[in-house]
Amino acid sequence: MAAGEAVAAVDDQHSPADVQAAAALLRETAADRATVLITGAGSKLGWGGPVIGPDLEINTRHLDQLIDYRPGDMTVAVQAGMPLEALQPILAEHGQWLAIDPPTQTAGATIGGLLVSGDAGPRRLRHGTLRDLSIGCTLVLADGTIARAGGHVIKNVAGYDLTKLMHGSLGTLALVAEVVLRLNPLPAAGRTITCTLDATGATRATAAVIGSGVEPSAIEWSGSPSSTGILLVRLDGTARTIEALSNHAVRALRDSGAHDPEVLSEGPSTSSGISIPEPGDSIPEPVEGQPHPAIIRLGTLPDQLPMITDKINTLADRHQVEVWMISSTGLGLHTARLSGPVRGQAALIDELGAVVQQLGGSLALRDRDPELDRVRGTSAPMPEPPPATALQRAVKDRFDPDHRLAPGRFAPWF
Amino acid sequence: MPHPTSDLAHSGTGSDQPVPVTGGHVAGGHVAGGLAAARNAFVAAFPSEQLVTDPVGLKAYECDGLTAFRMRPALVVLAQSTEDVARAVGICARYGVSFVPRGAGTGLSGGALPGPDSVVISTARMRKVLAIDADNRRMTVQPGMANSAVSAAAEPYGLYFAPDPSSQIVCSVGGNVAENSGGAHCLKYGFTTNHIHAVTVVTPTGEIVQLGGNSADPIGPDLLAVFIGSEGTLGIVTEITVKLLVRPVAVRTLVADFATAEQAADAVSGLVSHGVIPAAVEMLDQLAISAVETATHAGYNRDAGAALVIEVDGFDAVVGEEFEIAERLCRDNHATTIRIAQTPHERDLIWKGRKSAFAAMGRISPAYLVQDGVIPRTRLAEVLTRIAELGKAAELRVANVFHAGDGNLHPLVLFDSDDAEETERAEQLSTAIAELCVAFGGALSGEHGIGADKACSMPTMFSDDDLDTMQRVRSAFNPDGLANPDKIFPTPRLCGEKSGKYRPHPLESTGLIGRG
Repeated sequence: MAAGEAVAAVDDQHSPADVQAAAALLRETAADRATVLITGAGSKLGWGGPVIGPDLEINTRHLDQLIDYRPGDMTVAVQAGMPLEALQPILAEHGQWLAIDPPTQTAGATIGGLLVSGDAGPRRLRHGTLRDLSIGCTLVLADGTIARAGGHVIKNVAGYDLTKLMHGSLGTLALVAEVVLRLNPLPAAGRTITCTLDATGATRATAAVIGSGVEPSAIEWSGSPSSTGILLVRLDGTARTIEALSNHAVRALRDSGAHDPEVLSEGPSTSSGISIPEPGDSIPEPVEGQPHPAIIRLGTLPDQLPMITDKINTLADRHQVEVWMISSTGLGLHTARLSGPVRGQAALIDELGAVVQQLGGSLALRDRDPELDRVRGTSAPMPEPPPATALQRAVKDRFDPDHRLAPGRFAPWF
Repeated sequence: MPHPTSDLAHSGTGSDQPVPVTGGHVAGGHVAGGLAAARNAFVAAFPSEQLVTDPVGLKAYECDGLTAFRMRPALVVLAQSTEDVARAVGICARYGVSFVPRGAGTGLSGGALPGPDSVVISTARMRKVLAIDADNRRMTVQPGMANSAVSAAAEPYGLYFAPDPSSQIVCSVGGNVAENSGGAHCLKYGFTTNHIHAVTVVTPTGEIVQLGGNSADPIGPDLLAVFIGSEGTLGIVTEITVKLLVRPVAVRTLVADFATAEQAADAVSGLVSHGVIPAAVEMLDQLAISAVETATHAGYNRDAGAALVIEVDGFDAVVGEEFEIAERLCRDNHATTIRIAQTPHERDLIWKGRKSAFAAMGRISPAYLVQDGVIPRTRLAEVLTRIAELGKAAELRVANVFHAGDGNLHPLVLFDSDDAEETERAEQLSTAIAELCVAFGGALSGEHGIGADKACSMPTMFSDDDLDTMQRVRSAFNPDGLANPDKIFPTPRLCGEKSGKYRPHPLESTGLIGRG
């Protein structure tokens, strides 16, 4: 990814073998205030603002061990550099899984990276992100302090929840060294239902499926904002219940106006036994010689999908940008891919950011052409800092007083 | 004025000792002087009906549901809006006076225990629904609204608010946010932290800030998540946007009796490892059943050594299958009888019995202390045996009624509060049980919070570095330490030089606080 390439050129790379070594490294480099980029698999380095010239990179690839798996308690403690892809097969042997299915799993996404980025996947609708599934952590602060929070039990209100504080921090507050996770039973059977709907129809269908009581695992709509797209509804259950669930959901879809719901036959299983047709697969690859497309992430109220697609459509026409969208319609989260001239991408982001902010939602920048931030003159995704910025800055100042960790990531806000 | 302490809080009549109201006894003239000036500022800023200043009125705010710790506050402000709270906190910040947020006052860890010379800021009068957005399954409410009133307001839309602490009829949703409350059904649905989209808070410096919002992916570190469960030490919540869930299509509930609590615990472990996550799995031991039956006649079997309440909810076909598995596992683990609720009324009665269990203890003991430790679910039987041994050694009765599915124990140590020696023994036993949970790889508290009650036990669970790191968050929000001081974190003042063991609260030693 373009933004990733810009930071991958750090000469001074370290891969500490344990938590102590990571702490020692941060402690030793604290005196000269060396700036640090913490990396895992590197699958999301292009998220947020570009990190300004880090003096060193600390990679968690050697912090990849399983620490303590307790199948009877349905908890597991892992080092944060463990790839999700390595963890799921171990859990699957006991009929369990960590209930997230991020598209970056195949790129080697690590548990630590998934926590600090909030990257989850379609099943976030039912299971949440690692914010909801992490029950404890070990952190290494910029001064080398090793701190633990939470624990190994699934219910715990002792002390502040520092694990959840890391969610969304993108490596700016601390190095996440270990994470304790809550597990779920691996569903024995699943079905995916597909139908053709525009944004308005998809919003209505989503409400109908959720309201029907089938407890869907995922509902995703993908397409171009200017036309009809595909709605996918994922149901997980057992051999005995899955038909009833799927029939009920099909009925709810039809009642809401979907005319062609179809139950897909199961696709090939992944190592975790879970499969959902990945909407990301259908995104066209960038064309050689063209500007790199920009990926943006929007958060709105779920029923604002039609309004957002209309707005994007208008802006896309005006600025000659082609847009492809995937929405988690039950959650109001939308990932959009903008292709076309960088100037057009920049104008669309500027205008859309203002609209979304007005709605109380969010726009975040992910992988993009480095030129995009230059054209926009900022890496701020929205015109105004979010309301929590001053407090986030205050927390940053106390966790990392010299601003050594990932400087620039939330520029210009903190 | 209505007494803010809930009838679900445990017994205790409180001390009638006169308690100094002004700050004259505290070293440090700044605070005492600040308090006098702050008092004038409050009188100037608020109409008299929003202030409580007389000793009789203040007495109602001496303690929360943990009646053993009592301290009369200097002043109480009854806020009616976000602006009221901001104005009150602003006065405290200006004059360096500490403040204690308070909701319904049903907390069980002394989180709303006033400090000397502190101002209590009550949100109990802020009970309005501000907005219902059924299409997006969310509702914005003021913090003083009762937990069950939130679900009642959502009912016409077929929606509800999932956290359901046993005190839900009275406890406030603001208190739920402060404590990250759970309840019986959090096994399947998660805790308060999993059910909040956004909050408006007044920070300890008096600013009004929104955390969270309309986006499920807000930018930057998740301050909403760290605020929830911070027990009033990071500010006061004044508006809350809760997530609402669709009422499950089907619900089935059973009560299974067992000869021993250990057998019931084995059934729970079997259920969890079988891949079934019921909505709720609750356990009552013989002593708890006896108290509940005396108080409520809910239909529990007094002859059982222990009873499990198992509830499965969701889509009807799924509920049917999971309920069958639950029944089978109870039988496999030697359940003596299994009673299945046949009507909604019967189900309500089962829950009424379970949820009034703490209050029912009053029928079998003059006073009790409740603990809230969590243990790994696979070790339930072992820990219950150890608790029984500790109780025997201390010559005290211990009743157990708890959230078995997530390993969250509520051992109730029964004692006579008129007997000083027995009271002391009960407190030592209660603390020993909480720390036993930590020794088994668990946690000091699952849902009641650390508050003033367990702050001195925190070093058994966390290192100095762990606690110092949490303090970094606290100082970012609360730089002058005015928001709910002496809660969560052990201090030498509170716990003595060597923290980690029970000591009398310093206010108690000086005769400033009494015991229930």
